[in-house]
Amino acid sequence: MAEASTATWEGATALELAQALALPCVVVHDRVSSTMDIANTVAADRAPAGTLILADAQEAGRGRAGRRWESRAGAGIWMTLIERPNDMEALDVLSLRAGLRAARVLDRFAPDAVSLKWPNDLYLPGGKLGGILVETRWRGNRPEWTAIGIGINVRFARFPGAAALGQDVSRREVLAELLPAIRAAAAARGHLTAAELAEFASRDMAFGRTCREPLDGRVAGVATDGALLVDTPWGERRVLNGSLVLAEEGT
Amino acid sequence: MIDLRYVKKLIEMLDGSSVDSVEISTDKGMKIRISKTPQHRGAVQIPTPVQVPALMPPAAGRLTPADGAVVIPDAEAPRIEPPKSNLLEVKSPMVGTYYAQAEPGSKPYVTVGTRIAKRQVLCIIEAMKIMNEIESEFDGVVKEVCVQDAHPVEYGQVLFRIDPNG
Repeated sequence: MAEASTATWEGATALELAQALALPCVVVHDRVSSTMDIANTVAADRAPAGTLILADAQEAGRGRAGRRWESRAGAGIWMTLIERPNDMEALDVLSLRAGLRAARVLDRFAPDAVSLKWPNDLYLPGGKLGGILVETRWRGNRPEWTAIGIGINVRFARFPGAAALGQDVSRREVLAELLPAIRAAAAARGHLTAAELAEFASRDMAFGRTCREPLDGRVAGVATDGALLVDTPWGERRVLNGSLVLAEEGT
Repeated sequence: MIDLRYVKKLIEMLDGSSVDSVEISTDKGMKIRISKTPQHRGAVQIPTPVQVPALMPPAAGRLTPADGAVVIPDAEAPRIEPPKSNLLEVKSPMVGTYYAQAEPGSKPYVTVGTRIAKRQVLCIIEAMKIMNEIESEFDGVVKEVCVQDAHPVEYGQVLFRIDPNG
C-alpha cells in the first residue's frame, strides 16, 4: 500500500519505494513540517507496522526536547518508521539499538567509522552525522505505536558541527540498507545483549570523557537497560533521562 | 526558587562531615532535606539505584548530589492520593519525567478547564530516552493537573483528574 501522491523521492514514487523496500506502506512528501507529525497522524489512522514516512525536506525537523534538526531538500534522509512494539524491555533500549544498527549500515558509506553518543546521536570525526528520536503513543497501560524518527546527513550538511557521508553517496542506496536494519532493531527483544554492549562501547565517543550534564563526572559507558553510567566522586551513577554534554562542548 | 549552588554546597559540606542529615525550611514554604542514608519519606520515592536526574527538573542538570539527597518543594511534590468521587483518573504507565508540552516554550497540551476528547494527547513522559505521549481514554473536562512540568512521576501516579460529565 502506498499513499496516492505525486511526490517522488530520488525519482521513485511511494509505490515503487514500498515495493523496493518490501514495506506495507510508504508515504512520500516533498516538504513537511516533520515526518514525526505525519507519522503520528497516519498511525492514529491505523497505519500498519512498517509504514515509512519519507520527506525530501522538513521545515521543522526536530530532535530531543524540541531541538531543531536542519533538513534541507536533497541533503539527507529524513524519515519516520512506524512500528507497533509489544516488548517493554526492548522498547526501553530501542533508541540505542536503532543507533547501533544504523551505525553498522552507515559505516559502509562513511569515510570513517561512525561513532555513537548516548542516547541518540551518530557522529563522524568531522561532526554530527545524524540522530534518532523515538516517540511512543500510549493508551492506558500499553503502547499503541512507536515512531522511530531518523535524520541522516547523507550528501551535505551546511551548518556548524555537522558532517555528511559524502557528496556522491546515494540516498536511495543508504535507505535500502538502513530500513531493514531499523526494522530488525524494532523487532529485537529484551534489553541490550552483551554483544550489543560491547559494540556500543567500541563506538562510544564519550567513554572516559568528562561530562557536565546530566551529571558532573566521567562517562563510564551504558548499562544493559540503556542507562548512561557516570563515574562521580560519590560512585557510579545511572542516568535514564536527559542529554549528555561533554566538558569540551558548549551546549 | 531554590539556589542549586546552595544545595550543592550543602551536599558537599554534609558529605565531608559526620552529620547524617540536615533539614532546612524557608519562610517561603520551601523545605530541603538532605540525608546520607537513603530514606523513603514524604511523597518522593527514590528508586535503587538512585536515578539522580529524574529527581530534579532539567534546570538542575549540573547538580552533583550525594547518596540520598532529596529536594522536596512542599507545594510541588507529587502526591499519590485516593480517587476523588466521579472524577476519572489518568495514571502514568511508567516511571519518567512529566512534560506538559511538546517542547520547551510551547503551549501545554491541556490545562485545568480544557475540554478533551478520547485519544487526545494529554502530556509527554520521557523515560529511557523515549518521548511517551499519553492519550486520554475518555471524553471530558480536565479538573486537575496533578503534576508539575518537568517533574518526576512514578508508575501508577495520577497525572490528571477528568470530569466525564463536565
